[in-house]
Amino acid sequence: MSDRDKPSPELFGDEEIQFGGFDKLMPNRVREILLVAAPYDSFLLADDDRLTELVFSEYLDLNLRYAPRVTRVSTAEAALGRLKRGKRFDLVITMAQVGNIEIAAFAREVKALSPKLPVVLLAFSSLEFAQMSDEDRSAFDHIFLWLGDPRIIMAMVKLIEDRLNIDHDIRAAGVQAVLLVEDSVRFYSSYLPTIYSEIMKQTHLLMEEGINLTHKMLRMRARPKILLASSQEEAWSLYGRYRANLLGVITDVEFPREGRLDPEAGMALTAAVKADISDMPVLVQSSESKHRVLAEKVGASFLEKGSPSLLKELQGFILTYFGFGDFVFRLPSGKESGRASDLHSMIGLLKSVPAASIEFHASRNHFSKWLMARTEFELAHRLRPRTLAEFGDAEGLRRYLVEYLHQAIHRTQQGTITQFDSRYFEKDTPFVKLGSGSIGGKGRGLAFMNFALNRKSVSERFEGVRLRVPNTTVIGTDVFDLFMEQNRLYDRVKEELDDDALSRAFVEARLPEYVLKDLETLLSKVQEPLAVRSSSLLEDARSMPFAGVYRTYMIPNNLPNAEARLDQLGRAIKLVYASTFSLEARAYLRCSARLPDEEKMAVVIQSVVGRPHGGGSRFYPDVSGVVQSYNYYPVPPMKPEEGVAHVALGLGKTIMDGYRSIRFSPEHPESLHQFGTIKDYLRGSQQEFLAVNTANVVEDFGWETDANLMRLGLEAAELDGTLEAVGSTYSSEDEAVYDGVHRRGARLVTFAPILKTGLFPLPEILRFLCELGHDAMGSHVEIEFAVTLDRSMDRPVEFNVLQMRSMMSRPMHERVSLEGLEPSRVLCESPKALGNGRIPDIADIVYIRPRGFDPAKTVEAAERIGELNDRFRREGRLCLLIGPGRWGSADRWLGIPVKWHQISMSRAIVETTTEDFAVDPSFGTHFFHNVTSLGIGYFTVDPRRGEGRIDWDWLESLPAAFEAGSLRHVRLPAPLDIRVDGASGQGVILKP
Amino acid sequence: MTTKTAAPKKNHSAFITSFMADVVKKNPGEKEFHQAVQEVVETLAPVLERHPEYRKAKIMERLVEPERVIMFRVPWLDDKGDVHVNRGMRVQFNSAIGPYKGGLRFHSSVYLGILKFLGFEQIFKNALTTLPMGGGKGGSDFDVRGKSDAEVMRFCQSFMTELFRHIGPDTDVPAGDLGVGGREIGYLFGQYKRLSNAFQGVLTGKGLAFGGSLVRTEATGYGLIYFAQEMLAAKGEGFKGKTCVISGAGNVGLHAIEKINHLGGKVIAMTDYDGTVVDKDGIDPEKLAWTKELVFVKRQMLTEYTKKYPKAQFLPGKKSWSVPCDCAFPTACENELGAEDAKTLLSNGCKLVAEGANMPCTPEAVTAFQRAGVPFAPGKAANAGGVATSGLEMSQNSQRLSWSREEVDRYLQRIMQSIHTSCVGAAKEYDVASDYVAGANIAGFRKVADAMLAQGVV
Repeated sequence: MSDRDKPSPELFGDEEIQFGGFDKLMPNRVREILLVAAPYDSFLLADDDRLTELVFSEYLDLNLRYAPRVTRVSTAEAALGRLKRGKRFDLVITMAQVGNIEIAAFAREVKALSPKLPVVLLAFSSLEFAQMSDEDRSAFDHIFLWLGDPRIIMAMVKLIEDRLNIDHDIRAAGVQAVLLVEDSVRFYSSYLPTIYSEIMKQTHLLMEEGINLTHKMLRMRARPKILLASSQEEAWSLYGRYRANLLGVITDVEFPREGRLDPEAGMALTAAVKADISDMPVLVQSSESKHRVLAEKVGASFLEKGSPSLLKELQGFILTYFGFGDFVFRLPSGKESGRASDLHSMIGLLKSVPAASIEFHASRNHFSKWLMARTEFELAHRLRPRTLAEFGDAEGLRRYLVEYLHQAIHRTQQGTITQFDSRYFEKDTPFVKLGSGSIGGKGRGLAFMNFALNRKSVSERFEGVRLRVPNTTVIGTDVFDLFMEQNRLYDRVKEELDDDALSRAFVEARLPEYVLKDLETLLSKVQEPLAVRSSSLLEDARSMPFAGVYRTYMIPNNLPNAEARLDQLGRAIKLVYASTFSLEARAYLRCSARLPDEEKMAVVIQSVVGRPHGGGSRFYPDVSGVVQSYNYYPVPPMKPEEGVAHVALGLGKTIMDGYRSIRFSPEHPESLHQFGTIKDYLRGSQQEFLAVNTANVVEDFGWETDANLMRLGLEAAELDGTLEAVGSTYSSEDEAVYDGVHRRGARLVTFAPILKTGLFPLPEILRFLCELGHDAMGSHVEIEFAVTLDRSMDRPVEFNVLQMRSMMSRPMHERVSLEGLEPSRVLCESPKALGNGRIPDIADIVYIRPRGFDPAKTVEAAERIGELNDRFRREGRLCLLIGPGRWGSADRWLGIPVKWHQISMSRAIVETTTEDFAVDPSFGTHFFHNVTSLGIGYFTVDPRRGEGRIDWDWLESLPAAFEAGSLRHVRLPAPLDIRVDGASGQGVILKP
Repeated sequence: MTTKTAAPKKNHSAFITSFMADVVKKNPGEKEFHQAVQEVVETLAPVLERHPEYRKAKIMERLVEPERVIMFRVPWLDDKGDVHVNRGMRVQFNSAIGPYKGGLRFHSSVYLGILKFLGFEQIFKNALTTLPMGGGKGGSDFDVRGKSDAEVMRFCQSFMTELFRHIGPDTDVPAGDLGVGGREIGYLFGQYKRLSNAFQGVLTGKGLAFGGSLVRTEATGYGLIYFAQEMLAAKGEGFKGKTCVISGAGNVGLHAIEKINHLGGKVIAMTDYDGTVVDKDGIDPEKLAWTKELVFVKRQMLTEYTKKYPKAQFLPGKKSWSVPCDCAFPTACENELGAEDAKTLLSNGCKLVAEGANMPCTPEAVTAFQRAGVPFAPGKAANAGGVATSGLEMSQNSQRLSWSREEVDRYLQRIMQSIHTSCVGAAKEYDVASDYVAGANIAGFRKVADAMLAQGVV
C-alpha cells in the first residue's frame, strides 16, 4: 500500500480542523428498522450475544443519538399494516417465513407503498432463495444468509448506509472505500460482517487516549465504506467512480459479465485495476487454486475459498493492506516479533513472544495504552498500576496477562442469560453461561424454552405437571477458541486425523484454568449424572441442524474423588470439542457447503433427567421422546399439521439412534399405527432401554459415547417399577395384548397407561409445546423431552424440554411436474417423498437387492457403501441410494447402519420394504432430520401397502460397476431425472 | 400341491379345462380362488377318475360353490364421531362334515375372492383333522392398524350385529385370523352374547377366562412332533436316541423341542435370522426354558445362547440342515429348505422330515426326500395341531367344561394320530404307500366328498 492511501493518526493531529468537517458526514442514517420475524427468530438473533450490546455496540457506545430503533412484527401482514398507517422506517429486514404471503410478493408490496425503502431478506437457508426467479430476487435490495453471526445485522445497516452516503461523504471529507465484488450470497454474508468489524477496529485505532465521546462519534463516521458489486459491469462502474478513494478491491473470480456467468471475470477485473493503478491492493478469491499463479503474476493477493482458515486469511489481508494499527511486539533491539490486531490475537501472541518483548512493553505501559486505544478503558485502568515486580518475572506476567485478558473479555459481555459466578452458583440455578461468545444453536433453543416455560401461565398450565428446562450451564464458544489456541489444536486438526487420533489429541489438551475452576464449583453443587452436549454455532440453525453429528456424553458423576469427577467432565467437554472436527462432521460440512472456519462449539452441561434405580446402579428417565409439530407421513385420519411424537422408556438416545420406539399423533394418542397385529407388537415394540451406568464407571472413556451407558431388558424396568407407566402384557394363551403389567406374559412397551388411561396428560403437553414452538419460531419445530414420574412420593410429573429446533420446511418456489410420465421410464415412484424440485447430475446408483438381502449383513453393507462413497468423493460424483429399512439406523436389524460420512455423496435416498423386511421409515431419528434438512431427496417405497414401486428388473439388467453380496453399484451413461413435488409429497426417479 | 400321484390322463385335462373355464366364468375377477380350485382339481384328478360316482354327483361342481355367502354393511363411528362404512362378509362354504369353521380376517386387502380362496382350502384342512368341522371364512376390509381400542370395539360390535344371525355353535363357528386376535374375538363374542342372550361357544380363540382353550400356543409344535412320532412308529421306531434339528426358534420350533425332549429325543440345532446354534449335548429342558425366556420374553436373538452355554457353537448366517441328524423339522418360513439342503440332509443320513410351517420345503426338496424313500410329512398334515385345538375349544364349549392342559394335550395327540392314520390309509388305497403328501390331499377330500354323497343333493 502506498503512503497515499494509508490512513495515519498524524492525519488527525489537528482535531479542530478534522472535526470541522466530520460532523456533516453520514447524513443518511438508518434510524428505524422494521424487523419482520417470528418470535423465535428475533430471540435467536437477540439472545445470543445481546443484539443491542454487540450488534449495535457502535451505536450504544459511541452514538447514542442515532442508535437505531428496531420494531419487530411477526408477520408480513402486520408489517404492511404498520407501513400503511404511515409509520416511517429506514430499513425493512425480513425473514423468509413471515406468514402466509410469498416473501417476494411482500417485498414488492413494501416497495409499492414506499419505493425508496430498502428491503433486505435475511434467509436461514440458501434453499429459501436459491430457487427464486431473478425477478423475485430483484424485489430485494440485498439478500443475506444467516450463518449464526449476529454481526450480520450491523453489516446490513452499514451497507445500506454506505450506499446512501458515499457520494456525499467523499465530497465532504474524502472518505475511503473498499470494493467487494462477490455474487455469492453465502460468501458475502460471511465476509461483510468480518470486513465491517475490522473497519470498526481500525477506526477505533484512530482514537487517541482521552478523546471525548463526541469526537469518537464523529470519527466513527469517517470510517471507510464498503461497496458491494455482484457483476463485472457494476464493479467496473463503481471502480471508475470511486477509484481515487479506494483502499483496495476484494474480488471473486467467477461472476456475471455481460449477463452471463463468466468463470474468469475476476481475473479480467484484476488485470484492469492493476493496469490502472499498479499499487492498488487487490485480493482475488477463488475455489480453484490455479488462479493463484495468475493472481500473483499481476501482483494481486490470493485466497482459496475452500481453505478452512479463509476468514482468518481475509482478516490478515485487511490488516496488512488496509493499514490497521496492530500492536507490534518488539524486542528491546527494536526487532519485530509479532503483531496483535485485537484482544484475541493479543492473547495468542502473549503466549508465544519472547519474555524480553513482554518485559519491554510492560515497562513502558504499552499494553494499557493499546487497550485504551481500543476503548477498553476498564481493562487498561486495571492493568496500569500493576508492576512487573509483582509477578516475579516476565513469565509470571505473561501468564497473568493471558488469563486476565481472557476473563476480562468475558466479564464485559453479558447476555440475557446469567453469567456463571462461582460465588453465587447453586444446584438450582436455572440457566448460566460460563465464559463468553455464543451459546450455540442448542443453547439458544434451550434458553428460549427456559424463558418461555418460566412464565407462570405456562409452568402451571397442567395440573400435577411441572414443565421446565433442566438446569443448564453453557460454556460459550470463546472458551472453545481459547482452548483451541492455547493447545495449538488448529494445527492438529489440519492433519485430518481419524476420529481416534483426534479424540486423543483433544483429551490430552488442557482446558483453561479458570474454566476448570468454575467447573469445580459446578461439580461441588451437582452430584447427579451429567449430560455434556454439543451446541455449535450452526447446530440446530435453520435448515442446518447437525442433528446428532456432534457428540453428547453422559457421565455418571458419582466418583468419590472430586478430582476424578472433574477429569471426567473435562474429558467429556474436550471430546465434544473434538467432535467439531470428526470425520462425520467434516463430511456433513462438505454436504452443506459451509465454511469450516465458521463453526465453533459451545457446550451444554445439564443434569441428566431421571431417577436412580437398581440400588443406585442405573439412572434414567421414565419417559423420553421427541415430538415434531409436522408429520411427514400422516396416515389417515392424521393430518400433517397435527404432528407426530416418538416415545421410549429410558434415555432418548434410543429414539435418536433409530431403535424401536412408540410413534403416535398427539391428536390421536390412542391410535397406534405401527401396531395392527400381535406380531407387530412383538416385533416392533421396544425391547431394551438405555440408562446411565452408575455402578461401573468408565473413567477413561474415549470417542464412543456409550461407555457409561447400559442397555437393559424390560425385566430391569419392571423391577424398578418404571415399566408400570408404559407397559402392557402379551398373553400367548389368549393371543392378546393387555394394558398394564399385572398379568402373566411377555412384557411390551406400549405406553398404554399414559396414552389410553391418561396417567398424565402427555398428548396435551406435546400439543401445547408444538404450538408454542411453532408460534415462536414461525416454522414447524422438533422438541426433545424427558419425563420423570415419581408417583411414590406424590410428586408432580417433571416434564423436561431438552432441545427445540426448527424442522426443515419445504421450499415451494419451484413446482415440478410429475404428470404424463411414460411408465416405462420410471425407475422409482413414491407417494411419500421429501424435498422439492429437481435433483440433477446423478448417474451412479448404489442399491441393495431385495432378493438375497441378508439382515445379518447390514454392517458389512454400510462399510462397502462407505468405500464407494469415498470413491465418489474422489471422482466428484453424486449418487442415488436404494435399500431396505431405515437408513442410518443404529440398530443393524432395522436397516443399513450408515453414518454420515459414508453417504455424504448421496443426493437422493430411497427407503424401501420387502416381503420379509418391513420396517417403519426413519421418522424421528437424527439421521432422518439431517437428510431432510439438507434437502436430500428422500423417497419411501412400500410395495406391500401399494405405496410406490421400483423397477428392480431394469436395475438388474444394468452391468454392475461393483458388486458384493446383495450390494450393487451401477453407473449410467447419462444422469437420472429425479423430481420431488414438495407440495404433494410425491416423487419420481426417471431413467436417463 | 405336490404329489406323486400319476399324471392326469388326457380326459382329465379335458375335464379340468372345461371345469375351470366354468369356475372362472362364474367367479369373475377372483384370481386367488381360481388358482386354489385349479390346484385342488389337478391334484385330485386321479381320485375323481377312480370314483365316477363323484363325477356323477357333481361333487367338484358343488364343492366350488359356497353354500352361502353373506355380505353386509358395517357402519361405525370413529373417536371423533365421523361415520365410516366397511364391508363385512362370511363365506359359508361347506358344512358336509360339521358346522362351518374358519377364521375372520380384518385387513384392507380383504375382498370376496380372497375369502373364497381361504374358505375353500379350509374345507380340506378341517376335514383332515378328522374333527367334525366344515369350511368357511369371513372378514372385512377394515384395517385395525391405527385404530384405537374404542374404534376397534365399535367396529366389532357393528360387524357382529349383522353376523350374529348367521352363526351359532351348531351352524358356524368363526375364529381369528389376520387382524383378528384376542382383543377382537373378545369384542365380537361380547356383542354376540348380548344380541343372542346366550353364552355359547360361537367363536374360537377366546380368552381363557371366557371359554378359551389351553395349549393353543403349544398345539402346532406339539402336534408336529406327535405326527412325527407316528411316522417313526410306522417304521417300528421312536424318538428315543434320535438326534433332531429344527429351523426357526418361534412358537412352533421351541414347543416342538419341548415335545421331542419329552419323548426322549435330542435336539442338537436350532436357527433364527442370525444363524444356527449347534449344541451337541442337546437343548435340554433347562436350556430350553432359558431359550424360551430369551425369545418370548426378552425377544432377543439366539446369538445370546452361546454366551450362556459356551460349549455350544454358533454358526452365523448358516442354516441347521448341514448338521447331521436323524430327523429334521423346518418350522421357519416358506422355501427355507431347498434341493441342496435336502441333498446334504440325505447324505448325512436324515431319516425323517416333517414340516412345521406353510410349505418350508421347495418342491424339488420334497421330490428328493420322496425319491430317497425318506418319510416326508407335508405341513397341511403335520401342521394341523393349531386347527385341531380350535376344534377342541368347540368341544369344551359344548361340554361346558374346561379341560386341563394334560387333557387337551392328550386329545391333540389322539387327533394327530388319526390324521396320520387317515393319510397312510388314503395313500395305501391309492397305491402311493408312505407318500404322506398324496395321502393328506386325498384323505381330506374323500371325507368331505363321501359325506356329501351320503347327504344327497343338498
